[in-house]
Amino acid sequence: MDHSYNNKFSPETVADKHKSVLLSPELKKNQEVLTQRLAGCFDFMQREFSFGSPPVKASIIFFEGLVDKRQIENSLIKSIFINCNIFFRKEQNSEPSHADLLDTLKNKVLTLAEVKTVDNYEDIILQISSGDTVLLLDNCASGLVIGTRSWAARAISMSENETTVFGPKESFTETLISNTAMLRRRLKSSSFKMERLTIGRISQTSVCFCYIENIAPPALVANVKERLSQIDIDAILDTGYLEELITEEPYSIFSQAMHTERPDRVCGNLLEGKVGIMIDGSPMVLVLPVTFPQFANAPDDYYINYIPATLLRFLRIAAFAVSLLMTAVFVSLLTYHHEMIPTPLLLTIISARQGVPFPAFVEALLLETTFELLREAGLRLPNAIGPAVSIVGALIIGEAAVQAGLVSTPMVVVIAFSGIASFVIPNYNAGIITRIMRFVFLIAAGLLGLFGIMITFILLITRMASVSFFGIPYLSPVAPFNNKQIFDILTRRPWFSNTLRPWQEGMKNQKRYEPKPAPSSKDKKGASNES
Amino acid sequence: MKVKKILVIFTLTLILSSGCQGSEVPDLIFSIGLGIDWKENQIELTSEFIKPAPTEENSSEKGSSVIFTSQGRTLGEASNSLSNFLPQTPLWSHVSIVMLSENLCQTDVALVADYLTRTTEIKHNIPLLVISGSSPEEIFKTKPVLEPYISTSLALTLQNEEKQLNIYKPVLMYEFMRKLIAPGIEPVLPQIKKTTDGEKDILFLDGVAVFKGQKMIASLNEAESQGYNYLTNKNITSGLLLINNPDDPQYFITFELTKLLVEIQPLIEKENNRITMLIQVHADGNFYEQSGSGDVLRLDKYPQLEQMVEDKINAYISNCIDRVQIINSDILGWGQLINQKDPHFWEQVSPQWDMIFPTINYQTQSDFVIRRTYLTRKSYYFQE
Repeated sequence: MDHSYNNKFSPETVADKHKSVLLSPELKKNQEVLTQRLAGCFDFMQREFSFGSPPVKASIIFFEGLVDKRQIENSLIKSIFINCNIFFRKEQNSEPSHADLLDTLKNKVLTLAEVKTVDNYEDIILQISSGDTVLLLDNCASGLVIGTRSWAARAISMSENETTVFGPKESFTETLISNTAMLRRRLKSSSFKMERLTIGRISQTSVCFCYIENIAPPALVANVKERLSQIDIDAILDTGYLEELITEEPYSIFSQAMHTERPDRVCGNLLEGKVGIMIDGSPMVLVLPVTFPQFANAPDDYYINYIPATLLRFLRIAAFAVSLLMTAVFVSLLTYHHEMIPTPLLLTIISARQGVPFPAFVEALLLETTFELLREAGLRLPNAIGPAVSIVGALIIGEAAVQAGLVSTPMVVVIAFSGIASFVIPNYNAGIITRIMRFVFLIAAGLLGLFGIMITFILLITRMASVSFFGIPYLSPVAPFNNKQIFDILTRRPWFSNTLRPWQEGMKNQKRYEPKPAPSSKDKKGASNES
Repeated sequence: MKVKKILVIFTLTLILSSGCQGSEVPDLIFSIGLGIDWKENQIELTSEFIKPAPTEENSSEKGSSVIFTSQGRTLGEASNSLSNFLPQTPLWSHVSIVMLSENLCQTDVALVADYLTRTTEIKHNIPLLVISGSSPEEIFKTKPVLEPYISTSLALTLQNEEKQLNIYKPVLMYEFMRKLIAPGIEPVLPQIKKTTDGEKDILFLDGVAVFKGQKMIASLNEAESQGYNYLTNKNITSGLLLINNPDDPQYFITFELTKLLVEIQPLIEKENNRITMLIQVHADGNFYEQSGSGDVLRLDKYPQLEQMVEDKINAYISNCIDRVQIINSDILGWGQLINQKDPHFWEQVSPQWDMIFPTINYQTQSDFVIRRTYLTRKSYYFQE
């Protein structure tokens, strides 16, 4: 309905116009204004009725599809019809005014949990857009907002993007209130705060930012809150909007916040003094600030024994290096540094590359691009067609291209290996950045060999070391080096030795775990006294 | 703005300077072995190149090589003149062995030494060999037995020989070149020889070529080479030693060396200008094999066996030293030992070192200990 956004009936302009317009005591006028403002909204519903004696005119308004009609019928209309008559009969002698009637309805008649008063058009529209129902009475300049929200929502399901073997399986949904409930269920403390803002002139999206009061640095909380409140945009459809809108480094390729759909991951980060941002309508939650080394952590690192978890972390770090550099190093060896290839390997490569018409760099670029195409196509395709694309990719691109002599087998192996390695990175965003940087390294390798790779690497590291997001250097604790926390990144420290939270500027409470002496066992001979 | 300018300049440099050195694998032909000869006052360079063959599935055929020979007044000229008939650029970084002809070594090894050390393409940690009695081309044309290429086969043979028999130690190029110029020590190189066994040509290591100055002056035989290896190799952990069975001299007892360490101390008597080299050998070994019968492996016989092994080691060492003193080439590096012990004395004697070296006395003390006898603790008895 683009035309309705133009001219004088644009919701933005109308919203501004009616910002402080109070309700009229006349029901009819109120109905007219609302009908005019919501013209063209077929889902806008009004139901007029009268109750009591002498009859009082009333109207309830709501948006269809957002409300629980059964609740409106049973708990609202039915309550008013039955209870009001009884109530009025009891207090016949003193007939209440209409304003008192609203209070009576709110406090003594309605059996719904959420009832509050409203006195302007803007709030009414906002509330009914959120799924509430508004009750308006004749001769009364305010109305009642009744919480009747109910809409078809996706059920809580298993996390699809961040699957784990151990640990909780549930993931966030598109409904904000169910997401906040998932967090509240895990952190049952009064210091766990969830503050609510509304962002978006048209979307009026509910945004919730949460933190743990005694842990998150107050400056960080204030900074995030201020940045959120300064956003002036027409609509927010996903948390991704917010990441770019509140960032300190808008021209940076690096992911400045962690996007996660796992409530346990959000809680884990909140407990480390981070801030989480959720919005209504998106299952992805932003966690910030993040550091780059943190992307090597997978959620289930903390649910399994620390030794395998540490080894897996080593594997991930190695996979990251392989994914970033392997193709580039291979191309530079083939193009510039033949002497560095062991002779037996060189013999194999020479045989395999016989008749390949492209230089190694072009060959690698073609294969990398093909790999990215297949990956992107696989993401976008419906589930039924996805495997077909994989088969085409594996058979046509891999087998046929090698047989036709367009590409060499070692190059296919290298590309496939680095491709698989990029999927080992537990964070999707970090994975994408790795793949982009892989192309940069590849071009540098094609132009200048290992020298080019080194230059690019130095530039990349310099850039990463020079940025800090929300007061935390992006490469910390590697740069600036922190010998106490570096083990937290390289290894998964056992919980019994993990006494402190990762340090942040302004963090008040860093203690996470208080080691206590182990209970002495008299039955155990020679039990160790170590605490 | 400054950063932007720097970035633009950097990107342009990156793009414009590309393609200067890079060359693709198919544009190159890789040499894996070099043979250098001196013929009619010209350097003749023979090289084994990998002949690329497209791999086919389930193909059992191994790669093959091509031999090219070129001549030039210098080695650099000879190597460059290969480009006259090669369609691809020759690349020397994968050369695994360099063989010098006997003729070249006897004439002057300095004819090629400068190029070999100066070039950045040939690795300096590859072994050198001297070809005895054949030309490099003949060696390269020998059909390798198990390996696809003769050069890699020879390099592996040298490595394996050191691991198993430990008679010859591979001499790496930088080591040889260093000894060529260092005072108080002369270089050696293992020799390779070709022989014919009926229809098949066989290559084998045969002795050590001894240099004096820039020229090869003689060869050591196998026993002398063994003694040389004992005296100079600091890391002997293998090798066999055969002694006659004390009970039955027509049979043999084999010992396996597990450690052999030689310490050489020069004793200098300045008054008489006399030098004595004290050679102490500490060796361990295992009782490896006994041919023939006889109760040899008894505790009371251990000292006798050990003594026999010590005598054998002493004999190898004496053989070598005697021969080297006759040849008068200080391949043992005794001059350097004296220099380390007493630099002033070395300054005095070094001008007459050629006169002094053959007259140096030496004393050898060996100490051998039997460590293990493997699965059989006693000698083997046969039924009579």
